[in-house]
Amino acid sequence: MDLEGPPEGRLGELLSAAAAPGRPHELAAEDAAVAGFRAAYRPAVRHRRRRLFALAVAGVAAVSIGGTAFAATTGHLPAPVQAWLGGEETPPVHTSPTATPDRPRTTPGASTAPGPPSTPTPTSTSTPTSAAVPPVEACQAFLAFRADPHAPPVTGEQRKELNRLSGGGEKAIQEYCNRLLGVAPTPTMTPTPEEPAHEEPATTPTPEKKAKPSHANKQSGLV
Amino acid sequence: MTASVQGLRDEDLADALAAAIEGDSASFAVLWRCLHPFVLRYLRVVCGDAAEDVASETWLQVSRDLSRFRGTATAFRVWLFRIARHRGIDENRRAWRRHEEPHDAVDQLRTALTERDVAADVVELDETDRAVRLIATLPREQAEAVMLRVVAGLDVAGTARVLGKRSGAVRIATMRGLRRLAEHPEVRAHTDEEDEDGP
Repeated sequence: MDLEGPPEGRLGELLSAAAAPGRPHELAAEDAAVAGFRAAYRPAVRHRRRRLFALAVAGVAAVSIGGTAFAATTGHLPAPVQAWLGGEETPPVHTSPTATPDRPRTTPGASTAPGPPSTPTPTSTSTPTSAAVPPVEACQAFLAFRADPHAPPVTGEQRKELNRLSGGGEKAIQEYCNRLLGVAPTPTMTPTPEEPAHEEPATTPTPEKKAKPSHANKQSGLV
Repeated sequence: MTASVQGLRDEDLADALAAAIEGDSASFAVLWRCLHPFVLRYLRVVCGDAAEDVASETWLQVSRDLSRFRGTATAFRVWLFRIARHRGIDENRRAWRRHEEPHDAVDQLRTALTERDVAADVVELDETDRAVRLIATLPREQAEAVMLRVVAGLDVAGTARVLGKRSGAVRIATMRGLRRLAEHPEVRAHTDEEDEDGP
C-alpha cells in the first residue's frame, strides 16, 4: 500500500476526515496565538546593536590613541615611554608584558594598543618609508581577517612585517593598514568589541587604576 | 497525497512565512490558521489530552525562534512538527513523573481519553475526531507516521526528519499503519455495510 493515490473506500474516507480543513473550535485560539507571537517574537537585531556598540568603542579608542600619539609627538609622555619610543624600532609584541612592566598608560581606553600607533611617523598620513614595498597584501589579509574570522588568517611572516612597520599590536597594525590602503575605519574592522566591553566597566568606576600598569600589561598580553 | 492537504499548499504559505519571519503578526496568523488544526490533531496522537496545551507551547517556541528560521515553507512545516513532537514527548515525560507507574501513565491517559470519547461519541464527535481517535489506537510509530504523512501532508523525507528515522522506516510504518487501519473492525464494518456482503 502506498500513498501515491488516496486509499479507497472507508479507509479513504477516514483519512480524508482526519485531514479535513480546520474546524471552528480548532481555530478558536487564534487571538491567543497571535498575542503570544507578539509577545514572544524576538527580532534578529542583535547584530545591529552590536555594530553600534562597536562603533562607539572604536570612537573611544580612536580618541585615546590620538591622544597618545599627540603626547608622543609633543614629548609629553613620561620619560621611559619616550625613551622606548625613540630607542626601540621594533618592540616585540608578545613579550611586551614582561619587557616593559612599568609602562604607564595615558588613558584606560588606550589599553588595547600595546605600542604607539606608529613608531616612525605617528601622525603621518603618507605611506611609511621604512618598507621598500608597502605590504599591501599583508594589510589586505589582515583587514579581511579582522572583518571576517572565516577569512584566511595572516601568515606569521606578514604579521611580523606588519608589527615591525606599525609598531606592533592589533590596533597599531590596523591604523597602519587603514592608512596604507586608504580605508576609512569601520566598526567591523575595529578590535573585537568584547575585549573593550569587559575592560571598560572595570576601569571607568575606579580612575586610580589608570596609574596601575599591571592592568594595561595584562591587556597587551591578549593581543 | 495532495487531497489531504487542502488549504495547505506551500506556495501559498511562502509569502506569509517570509513576512512572519520579519515579525508581521497578521502573516503569523495566516500560518497558524493553515497549520494549527493539523498540529493539534497530530499532538492528539502524540500526547492525547495535553494536545491543546502542547500546541500552544509549540507555537510560542515557533514565535520566539521564527526570526532566525531560514528555509522554505516545506522546511517550515517540518520544523513546526519537529518542535510539536519534542514538546509532546516532554509533556509525556512530565505526565510519567506525575504518575507512580511511569510506563502505564500515557497508556492510561490515552485509554481514558478513548473511553471518555466513546461516551461522548454520540453527542459531539464528528468524522474528523473519530478518524484521529482511530489512528491514535495504532502503535505509536505507525500512528505518528500516518498522521504526518496523511494529515500534516509531509513527504517521506520530511516525516523521517520529524521522527528522526530513516525514510525506509517511515514507509514501512506508514504502510503497516494504513493496513492495520483498513483491518480495523470499525472500518471493516463500514466497508462491509457499504458492500452489503457482510456476515
